[in-house]
Amino acid sequence: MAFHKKHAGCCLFFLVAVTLAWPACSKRVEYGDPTATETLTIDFGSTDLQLVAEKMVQSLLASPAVHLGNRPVVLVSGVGNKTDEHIDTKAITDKIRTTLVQSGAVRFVADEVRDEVMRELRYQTDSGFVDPETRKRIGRLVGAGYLLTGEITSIRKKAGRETDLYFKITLNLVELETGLIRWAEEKEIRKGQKRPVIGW
Amino acid sequence: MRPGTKWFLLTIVVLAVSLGACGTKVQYGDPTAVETLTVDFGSTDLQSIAEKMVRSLLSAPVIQERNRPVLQVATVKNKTNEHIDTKAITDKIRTTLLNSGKVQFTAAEVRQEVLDELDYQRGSGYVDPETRKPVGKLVGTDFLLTGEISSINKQKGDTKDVYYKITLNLVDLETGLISWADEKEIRKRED
Repeated sequence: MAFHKKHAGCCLFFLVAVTLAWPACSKRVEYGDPTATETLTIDFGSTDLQLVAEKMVQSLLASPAVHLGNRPVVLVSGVGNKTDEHIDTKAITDKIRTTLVQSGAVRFVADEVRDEVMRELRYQTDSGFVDPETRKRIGRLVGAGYLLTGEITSIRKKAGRETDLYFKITLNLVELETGLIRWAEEKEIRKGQKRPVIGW
Repeated sequence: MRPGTKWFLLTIVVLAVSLGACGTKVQYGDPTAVETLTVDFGSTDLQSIAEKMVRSLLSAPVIQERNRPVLQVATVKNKTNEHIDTKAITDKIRTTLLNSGKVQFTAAEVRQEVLDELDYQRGSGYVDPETRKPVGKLVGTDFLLTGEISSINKQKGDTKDVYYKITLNLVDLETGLISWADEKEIRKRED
C-alpha cells in the first residue's frame, strides 16, 4: 500500500533528523591524568616530553663529571627544534629545570627575565623612590658555570598505511670556562602508527 | 491533511524539542564547580593551577626562612594556541598568598600611578603637608615571580586531547637565581 511506504519513509527521515540534531549537545569533556601515556596521534606529545625530561634529569644527577657537591649554576640556552613539526622545546627544558631546582642539587640562572631583573635593580638604586634599607645591591648576580644546550631531530617514514616516527633529543652541558662538554645525553623515541582501511 | 504532512510536522516538532535542550536559559552556578563545557582553558584550570602553586610556594624553604619576603609578579608568557589571560592566574595566586599573610607584594602594575600621586602630593601645593606621604619609602622587591604556560593539542577524528603545562619560577633579584620552581600539568579530553 502506498500509504505504508510513505509512512516508513517519513519514519526514517524522522530518525535521521533526530540523530543528526542530538550530537550537538552531547560532546563530552573529561579531565584525565596528565602523566598517563597519550597515543592519540603519532606526533610529539606530553608523554614524549615527560620521558625526555625524566631521562635527562636522572642522567644529569648521576653524572660524575658535574660536581654536584658545589651545586653548579646552569643557564638554559635553548634547544633547537629540527623536526618537521612544531615543538615547544622550552616546555621540555622548563620541566627539566623545575625538577632539578626541586632536587636542590643544581642551581639555575633565570636568563629569560634577566632584563626585568636589571631594570628592577636600576629602579631600586636610581629612582630615589625606594627605601635604601630595602634596596638590593647591584653586582651580586651569580655567574653561570654551565650552559645547557641541545637539539631535537626526527625521522618520519611512511609506507602505505603505516608511519614510523623516530625522535632523538640530545642535551649538552657546556662548561663556560673551558668550553668543554662536561655531560651529554640523548633520548630516543620510536612510535608507529597504522591507519585502518576505513576511518581514521 | 495528508499522512505525509502529519509526519513531517511531527518531525519538525520533535526536532525543535531536541534542539530546545540547547536553548537559552540563564542560571547562576557555583564558580568553583568543575567546568567541562569545552576542552579549552577554563575556570577550573585557572583554579587548580593557582591552588597548587600557592600550596607549593607557601611550603618552600625560601619563603619560610624569611620574614614576609616581598614579591613582584613579572610576566607569565602564554605560549598556547589560545587566548589565556595569565594575569588572571597570577592575580588569583597573589590574592591567596596575600591573604595568607606570609608574603608581601609590590604593586608593579600601578607603579607609575603611585609615583605620579607622590609627585602631586609634594609638588602641586594643594595637599595638606600633614597628610603628604614621604617620598623614598617604597619597599624594594626581593623576588620576581615569572613563568609560562604551554600546551600540546592533538586531534583525531572527533577526539581532542589537550595537555597544559604551566611553570612558575621565583627569581631572587639580587643573585638572579631561581629560588623556587614548580609546574602544574593538566590533561583534558573531548569525544
